[in-house]
Amino acid sequence: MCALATVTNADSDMDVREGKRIYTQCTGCHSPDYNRTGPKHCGILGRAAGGVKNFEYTKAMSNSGIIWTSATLNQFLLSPFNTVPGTSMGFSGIASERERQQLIAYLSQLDERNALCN
Amino acid sequence: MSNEKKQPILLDRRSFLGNTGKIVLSGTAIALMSGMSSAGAMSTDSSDSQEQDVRILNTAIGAEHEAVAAYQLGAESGLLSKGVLNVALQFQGHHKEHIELLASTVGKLGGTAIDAKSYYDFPVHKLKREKDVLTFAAGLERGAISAYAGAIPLFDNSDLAKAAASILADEAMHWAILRQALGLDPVPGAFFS
Repeated sequence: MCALATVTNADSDMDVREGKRIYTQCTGCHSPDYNRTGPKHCGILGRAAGGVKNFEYTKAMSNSGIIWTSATLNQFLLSPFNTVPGTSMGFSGIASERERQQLIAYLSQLDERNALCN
Repeated sequence: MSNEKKQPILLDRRSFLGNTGKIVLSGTAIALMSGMSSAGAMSTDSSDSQEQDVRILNTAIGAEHEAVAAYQLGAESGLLSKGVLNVALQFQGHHKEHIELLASTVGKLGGTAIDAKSYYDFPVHKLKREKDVLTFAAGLERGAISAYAGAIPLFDNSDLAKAAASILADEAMHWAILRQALGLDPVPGAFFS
């Protein structure tokens, strides 16, 4: 069991690292810790879509009713325009399930325990 | 000559996100930014797709405004030496030119270009030395390059890919110059990832 847990943690760490690499491709518009053209991502897991203070969202996003979880992020990142018609995010999605999961692994650890978010 | 000058800024860099995303601008927007007349270009697209184009282009304009503001922040910081300040103002000028073209395209699509925000939430507290400002700017440019690098192979329209590649090259030069100013290897590898 210990060996299995070690492997799982290693896999998870690797996903976060790979997700961080993938995230650099988001940094034209987003940063973890402050709002830019897109909203900041610290604390995204569990947050309501359109929920970052002092960021002006489209009505489509604000009214989407989405709570950001691994599942809803996965759906949105697959196809933003289909998930939230009217979003201003000029990105049609990440086709690779693996890459979406790695990016979500990175986004998920952007919480209050992360130095970037303090 | 003026057309040649405008070719590299057919589309804003920051509207291309993700390594598997595709640009979703309609044929109308592509045609308008390629120099076609609005009457000819607009004849085939639905109003929905034009509204979508305006949203995407306005996101790009927003990013350009952010870049202008970021360079302004650096210029007014008092942290930049004269030579670096001149370069920063030159790059800022490029972003202003991008805004002019993008805003013109939005207008031709029947939309209204967004204005700059009155406030940008920059990490000002982290900017204490010239090196910090340069690192901040280099990060912005790197993000732009990554966005283009991931998007170019996915363009259906080869003219758009060509234009985006031209912009990527320009941004890569910005990034290299900023890295050089930071004392880093301006071209850290044979490939960019």
